Amino acid sequence: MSFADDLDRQRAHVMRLVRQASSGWAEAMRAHKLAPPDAGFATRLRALSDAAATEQVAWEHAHAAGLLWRPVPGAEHAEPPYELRPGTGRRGPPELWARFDAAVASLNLAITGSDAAAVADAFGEMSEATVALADAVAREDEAARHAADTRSRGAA
Amino acid sequence: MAEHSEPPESFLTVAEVAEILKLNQQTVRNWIDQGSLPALRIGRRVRIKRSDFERILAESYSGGTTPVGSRGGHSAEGFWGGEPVGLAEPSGAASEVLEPGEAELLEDLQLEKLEHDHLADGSERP
Repeated sequence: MSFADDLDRQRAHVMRLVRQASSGWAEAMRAHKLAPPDAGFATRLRALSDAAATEQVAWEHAHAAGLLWRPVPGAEHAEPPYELRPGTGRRGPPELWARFDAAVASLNLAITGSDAAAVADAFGEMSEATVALADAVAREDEAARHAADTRSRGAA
Repeated sequence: MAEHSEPPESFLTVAEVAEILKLNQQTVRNWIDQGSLPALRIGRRVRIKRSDFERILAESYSGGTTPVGSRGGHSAEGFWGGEPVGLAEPSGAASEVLEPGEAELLEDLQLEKLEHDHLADGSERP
């Protein structure tokens, strides 16, 4: 098999990776878009982080295979789903949300271009920012549950 | 009574269908073997009715495969709103953009090229 054939096969494989990653990201977005604020927030954030990490790996492969991100025009000021936007009562430490907002801005900037490596990096930062938030929100949930248990035991 | 006469049916070879669609002949043979494309076998020769070919072509076209190059539906709202966005395109072919679903088409084309490159016998069966 020639080098060109290997390259074609590699690209076809990467296209599958990218498609799967894109579907996972879309699913994570839909979960945030449709969800009411509830205890599942941390789970959704973790799913978003996983999806972003999958996107990062897929686009690193895409970059290595010489593929480009298809630019999304006008994405510079695009907003994530409502429950992830500033000013909507987001639970979690403000400094981690500031990091998340910066990651959104970086990702928006990256997707306006075609550099797959830049897109991969931006997804990577999104993944790290979001998993930190997921951990923090999960800890808040756990603390709230513990406090509620203590109150109910005290009342009994 | 007037005799009703229809124009005689014309036939295409596997090579002609492949040439029209810019596909490998083996792909056309696979369609025939799978029953996707009706064909007439005369001994070892295979012929496709032009009317069958044109009908299937028309059905496939109206089936709605988005043409490569269309730019509709690719937006930031889609990216953050739960639509698959941002599919890869070959470096150096920046004018050829891909819609969701078109990546599959690219894969098919790439596999098609591989088939083409690896087929030892690309000629019509005798």
